[in-house]
Amino acid sequence: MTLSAEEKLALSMFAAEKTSEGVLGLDTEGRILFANESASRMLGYSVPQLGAQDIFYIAPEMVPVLWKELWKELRENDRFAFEFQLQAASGASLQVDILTHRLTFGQRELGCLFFHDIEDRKRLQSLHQEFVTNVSHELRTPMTVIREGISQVSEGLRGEINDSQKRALTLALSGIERMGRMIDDLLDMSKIEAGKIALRRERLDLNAIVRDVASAFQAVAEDRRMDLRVTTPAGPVTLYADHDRLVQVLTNLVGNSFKYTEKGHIQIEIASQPHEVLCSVMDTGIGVSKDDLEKMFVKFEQLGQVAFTGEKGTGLGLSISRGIVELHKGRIWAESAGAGKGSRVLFTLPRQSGQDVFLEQLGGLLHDVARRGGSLSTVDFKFSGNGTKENASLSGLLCELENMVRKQTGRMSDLVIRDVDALHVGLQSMVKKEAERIAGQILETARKELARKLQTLGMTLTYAITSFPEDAAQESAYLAKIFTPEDD
Amino acid sequence: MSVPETKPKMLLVDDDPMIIELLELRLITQGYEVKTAMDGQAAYEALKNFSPDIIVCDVVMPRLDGLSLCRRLRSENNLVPFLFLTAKGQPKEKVEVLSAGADDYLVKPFDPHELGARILSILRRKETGNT
Repeated sequence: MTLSAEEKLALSMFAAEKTSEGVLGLDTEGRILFANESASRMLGYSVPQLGAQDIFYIAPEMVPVLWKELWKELRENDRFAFEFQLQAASGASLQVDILTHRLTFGQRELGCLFFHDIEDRKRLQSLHQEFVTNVSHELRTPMTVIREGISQVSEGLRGEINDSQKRALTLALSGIERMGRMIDDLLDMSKIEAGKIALRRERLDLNAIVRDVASAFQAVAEDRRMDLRVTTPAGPVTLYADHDRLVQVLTNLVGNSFKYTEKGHIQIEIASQPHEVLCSVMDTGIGVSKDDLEKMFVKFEQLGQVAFTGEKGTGLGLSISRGIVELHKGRIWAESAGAGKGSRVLFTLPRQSGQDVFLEQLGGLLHDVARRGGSLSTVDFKFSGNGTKENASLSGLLCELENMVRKQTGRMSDLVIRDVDALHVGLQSMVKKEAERIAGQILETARKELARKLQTLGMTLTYAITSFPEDAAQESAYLAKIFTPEDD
Repeated sequence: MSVPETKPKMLLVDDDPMIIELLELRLITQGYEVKTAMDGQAAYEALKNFSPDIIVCDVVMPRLDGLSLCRRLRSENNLVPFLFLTAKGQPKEKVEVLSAGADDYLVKPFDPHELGARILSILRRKETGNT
């Protein structure tokens, strides 16, 4: 039996309607042109109700910046998969896996979006993370007892011991230390998997971080008679990232190179490109076979190699590094000419403008605020004058201003992002009038305390306030308004 | 590691008897006069007739936990130097410990020599702060 063209069409339609995946058809403006039964069931809206809405209504986190990114990705690769949060009619949030495809009808472009609920998986991950956290905490106290007991005997606090006994205790201590590192790594890994690591992104210079990490390894390099080289572009490589987490990644990569390199050199390199920064750690060590290049990033995978330092790792370092890099929306991978030929681990970090980073983080805050029916204000402090290019005195001014802001508001919940010549501040639960008052006070203090510096640099400090819902009552409209000067 | 000439007095608080037994010997060897308590409430009582130069304290304990003890002392304007020994090492928890009014903290399992060094550095800071 064959199907006529008409029957085939009807069957396809039937399948789209009945599949357990939620299906949405969207135009480039985000309007919902098609919704199936599963989408309606999961979101709690009827099919016609969905048809009258746009994606931004059921996905408040789909801020305009993200929507643009999604289409950029779709036009390049025709498909894009991501994890996201939708909002059901009841107001409850729905964790989903989304797969988006692009299809074209002549000149028209459509997005076809498939999604399914991952609440159960999320809940399991969260339970797992809690479990690991609790077990780790519980292990620490007995480990302290063991470590302290062994240390006391080993140091002779409990009487004389001979060299052979001392050697055994030294080995026991290094075992305990490894266990401690393992617990830290396990905690990090489970947090990454449960999506519970919150990055503290700030404007920083990758060059400076690389230099710090390299100098921390200098003693090891001298000890091992190896050469640790650093190649960086002249001048700072600024980007928005989590300082401590980047140090963790670099320490992991450089540490690995030392472990698996007997002689030769290790080289850290930074290449700055317009849209991203490429950082790599290369060594002349034992190398990796092609099949193992991807396996290196798998949890607990140690590829059966023995470190030259005799050190045993946890097998989690590279998985954690991958997690951290991906949280920054970067990529990480390994290259090697083969066993015995050294290896190179590379990662990229996107270069975003301070405004984009601010909008991205504010989007989450705003979403919470909007759902509660609360308010939020953005204060944008800006230095303007002769030269507003990045320089030490300008970033010094911004630093002082940031301290004033933090002191004035005194809240951890506020979002403060330093830019080249501006400080973007997001104040939760603050109505316009209150924000005006606080910003006015900060400006007054700043103009007074920074008067001389401002004069020397020929600069002035001003601010602009955009408040939700006073200036724009819709999330996307509000975000779009923040950095757009009013034309009046 | 040298301890000041007059023996500094220390209150060591932990609900784990093994930790108490081991650390007490360690700290006595390092030259401190050590008094111990098994929970925050017992520590609070002990402070009525013992004024230590420093308190070294666990976080999670029955009856009165370490954070509550520290907050209570601070609210009574008792600024005795306070060092936490915590089984938690995550950034959020570190902030919690310090904002309770502690001077420093160490994450278990810790290096005993680091413990000694941190205690000395707190005592030194307190001394220079007073003069």
